[in-house]
Amino acid sequence: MNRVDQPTADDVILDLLIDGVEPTHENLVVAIAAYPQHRDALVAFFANLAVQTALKDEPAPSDCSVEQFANIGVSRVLVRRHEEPGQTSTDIDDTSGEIEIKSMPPRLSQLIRARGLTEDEVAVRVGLDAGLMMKLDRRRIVGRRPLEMFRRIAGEIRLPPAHVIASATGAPIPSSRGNLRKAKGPIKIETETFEVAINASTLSADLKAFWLRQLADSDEPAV
Amino acid sequence: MRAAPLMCFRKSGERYTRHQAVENEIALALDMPHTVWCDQSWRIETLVHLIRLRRRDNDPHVLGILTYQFFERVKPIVNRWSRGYGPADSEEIQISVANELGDLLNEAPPSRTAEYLEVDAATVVKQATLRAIGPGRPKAQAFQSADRDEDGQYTPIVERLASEELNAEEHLLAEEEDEAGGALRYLNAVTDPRHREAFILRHIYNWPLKDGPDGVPTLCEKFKPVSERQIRNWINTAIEQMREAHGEES
Repeated sequence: MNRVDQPTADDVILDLLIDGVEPTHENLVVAIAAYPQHRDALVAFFANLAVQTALKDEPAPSDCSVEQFANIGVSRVLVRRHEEPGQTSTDIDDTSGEIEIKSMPPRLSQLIRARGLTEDEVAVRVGLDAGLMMKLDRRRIVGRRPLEMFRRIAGEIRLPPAHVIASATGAPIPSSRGNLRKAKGPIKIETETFEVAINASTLSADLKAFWLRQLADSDEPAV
Repeated sequence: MRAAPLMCFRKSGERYTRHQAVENEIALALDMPHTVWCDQSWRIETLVHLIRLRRRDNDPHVLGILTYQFFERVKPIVNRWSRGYGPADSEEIQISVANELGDLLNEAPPSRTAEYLEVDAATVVKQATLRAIGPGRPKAQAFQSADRDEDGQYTPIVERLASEELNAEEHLLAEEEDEAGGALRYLNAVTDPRHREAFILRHIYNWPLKDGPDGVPTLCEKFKPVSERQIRNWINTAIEQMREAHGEES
């Protein structure tokens, strides 16, 4: 990709940062004279850079943790990747009508079993039921899902939550290849939101309420 | 095996090039199975390239772990360039940066900014953070103080500095920073980020308050619709809080 004659505000600001610009008012005026179309972005950039350059270190604010920050980023990358055309893990084979899995990533159930546990055991420990674990394993729960759920599962299998998010995100996995062979047309795999899945679960009313509250506080983006 | 060359150009017309150490790391990675990439320690720029390679296949597992490592590594850079805000604004900034960086990692073909992540990731993270701060922070409608605690109570930074929450090592580091920082170290004692910003722009970077040559940005324009008098009051409040901090210290 070559440089274009009309650089975007991002291009201009990146060039300023690469050149190590000092956020002086004089430099701001020069930049605006060169790129008047990006005046507002330049004013905001110079002001923010000026403040951040002047500020010395201070006690760390109680903002989001490294784990939370990283999990948000991981979710974003996986969601964007999943949204792209052609980025599904299942394809229809025209000759047989059969759904073939191109490449099977580690599933949640595989991660759990690798720790010598069963899905049912982990479900009980984290406050879910077997049906919910099955749906997570087959990536049938889409939309917003609480980070707390991934944290709890990750804690049980001693992996970072990003591993669990990665395993539970992507194109839904069919239940049975045998049933798919009987289908005449393309198979549409049913998915549901976390809220619907919780309400349809066998969990107690208290646990259902707990997870729905977690969902309300969730910062994992929709998938 | 070597990485494909980058496609974008610098302002000077030179093509982007990765640091030689990054090229070496990528060549090393390409000679090993991708399943062991997560067990290595890579430079941030190398991680960006490996993440982009893993996006092309259907295995989100290694992609997820490499991406997690990338975000772990860039978090301190985000912290450095988003100082001076309360918990709510800080969290909002960090979520925004995480999402923007996630988008940059996914861009195909990458923009100049996205591709520069493989040249100098810290500069792009700094840019994303400064953009996430935006022109209107802290959010005026939500503003009470930069330092609300969980109960919404106001806790000035100077009080936090004096509290017992700081451990000895942090306190020592803070003192060293103070010694290096001269009078500017008192900026952290200004409790309202808008007052601090007005002071910094006016007294450190010489922004005109109201009347400048035609087209020149002014503080009144920056903080519109706040009046000139109000901005003067903000600056005076900032100076007063810095004086108090100086008095407490001495």
